[in-house]
Amino acid sequence: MENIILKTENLKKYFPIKKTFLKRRANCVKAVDGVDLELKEGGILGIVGESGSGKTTLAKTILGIYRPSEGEVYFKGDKISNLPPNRMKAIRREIQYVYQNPGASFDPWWRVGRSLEEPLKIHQTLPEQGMKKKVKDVLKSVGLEEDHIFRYPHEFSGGQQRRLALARILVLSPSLIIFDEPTSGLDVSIQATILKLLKKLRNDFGLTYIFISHDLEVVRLMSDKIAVMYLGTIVEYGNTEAVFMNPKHSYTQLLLAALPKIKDQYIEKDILIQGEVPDPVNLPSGCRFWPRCPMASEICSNKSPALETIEDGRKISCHQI
Amino acid sequence: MTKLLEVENLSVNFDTDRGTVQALDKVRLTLNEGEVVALVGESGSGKTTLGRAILNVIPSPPGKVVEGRVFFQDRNILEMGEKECNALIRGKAITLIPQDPFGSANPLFTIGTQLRDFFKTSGNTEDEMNKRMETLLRQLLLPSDVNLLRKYPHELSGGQLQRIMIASSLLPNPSLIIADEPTTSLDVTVEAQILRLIRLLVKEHDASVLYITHNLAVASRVSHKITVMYAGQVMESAITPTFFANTAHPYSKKLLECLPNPTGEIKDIGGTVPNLIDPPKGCRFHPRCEYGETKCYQERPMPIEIEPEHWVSCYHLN
Repeated sequence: MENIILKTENLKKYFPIKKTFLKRRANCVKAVDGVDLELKEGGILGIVGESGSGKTTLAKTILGIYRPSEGEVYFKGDKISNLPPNRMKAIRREIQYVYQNPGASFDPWWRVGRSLEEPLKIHQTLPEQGMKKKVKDVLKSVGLEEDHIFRYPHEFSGGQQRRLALARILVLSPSLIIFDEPTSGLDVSIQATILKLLKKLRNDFGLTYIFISHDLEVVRLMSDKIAVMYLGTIVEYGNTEAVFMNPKHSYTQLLLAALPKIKDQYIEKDILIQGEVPDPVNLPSGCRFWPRCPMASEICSNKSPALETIEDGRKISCHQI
Repeated sequence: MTKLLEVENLSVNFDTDRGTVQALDKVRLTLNEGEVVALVGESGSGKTTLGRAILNVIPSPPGKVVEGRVFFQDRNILEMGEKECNALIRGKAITLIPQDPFGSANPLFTIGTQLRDFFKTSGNTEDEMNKRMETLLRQLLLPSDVNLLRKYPHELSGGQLQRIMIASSLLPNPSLIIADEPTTSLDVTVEAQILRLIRLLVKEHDASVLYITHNLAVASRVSHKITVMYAGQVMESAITPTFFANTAHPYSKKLLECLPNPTGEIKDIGGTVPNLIDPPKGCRFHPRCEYGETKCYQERPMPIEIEPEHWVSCYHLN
């Protein structure tokens, strides 16, 4: 059975720039600009891109934290974009979001147990007595001890804080979890432990993940589908292994070349991506990547390429293919 | 090759309410002129403390250098007075590229003012200063126009500001640059640009770099030599290609296995970094080590040179 759990259609999110007195016609930042995605139940979708490519905005728009400027989000077949808040609450239980810095998302004055019970109280999914048991069960499944509920957040290490953040989400038994840079700022050894745990949890609870990261290696390990984002649009989409073995879009190629690898010592003439992500207010005309693209020709600056299927399950937006 | 820096048996303790943290335990490190040495280890392994000790800026109290010497150009930095240190070493012969550029730049002054201040302390004339600044910014692929210099730190991107930090660390013509995880907060693409810049500039300006990182892949890209630290002890040091071709210490091997590899298998070290108030006796890695035995906690293994310039502190080398 391959059920589509999440689908976005031409999803857009523009942020208007404040109007000034004399300059009435305000500009806007096109943070997410026409994203189509489909995610199967039990799948793991990786979203990669540089900072400023709109990864986090996309996640927040899917969650309904931001209202989409255009386009729709479907969850388990139902349209969830622009739902009234009371109906959104039930959806929010099923789609959960893990913040970049889990330590900062806990109340420093609350014992961990209280923080972990709070989502249960809000959503009223369990009777009072069941809550304590549920919290303890979940703590065990993320590799923490039962009596950790009496501690304060600062008493935990960075890796443990990530486990706590996971526990707080898992008490609600969600079906889709969006991770925003789940391992940034962690040591490689702790990163490996957390990734192992995430894989185990997915198998145990039958979860679906969206994995946002700028670390391509991590995304490669975790996901089965990958979407490469650049300035609010998806430039390449496909099966993770296929994209990594044979990247088609020149942005993906350059992104992969930039990865530090053990083998290439002392290479000083390797191809590097030039410059930085341009200002999202004044986007380049045509294809957004052309000012940094080594393969750019005239058509690239005139016409923006559409995301087209080039082979089975592989989509790419580039004129040079 | 002449020796530029030699750290000898350096031990540093920090007194806290809960006890004494033994942050560095008999650390040895040498750095030759024109070399990039990568200092690799997990958080809490004492990398930054070592960097601070080299600049003689360990806050005291609570910090205390228990034993050891830091020879820089044949003088022991730790015996220098504050005044002498400020006049000769800090920001002059040894400079620092910080981990978080936004936390280190003054938000109230423009980039230009801050770079000029750096210059004034080294006593250059106005003309020299402008000329040098222009060449530097060009080398760092930054637009050297007035606009950039008039901007405030928050108006720049992380990559740009980190390049400004690199520029300011190169301004006084230092002999040694301590780079404390300069690319951790940056994108891979910008990281690759910065790593290449550091290699090129080091060659051009004839400086040496102590590059602190927790990422072995980054270390392999930037360094001539690698020193691996764990819980305040040096475990292994070798020339970079030798290190990767012939990794000898069990901890270094585990650390390498932690890196994501294409086979998709995820491996971790198991256990956690020990509390340095009461660190394991002997080799501090033995509780997490698969070869750990009685000998390992009775006495700390001395570094052995298993091949030229490849030092390992371990009893189990076969």
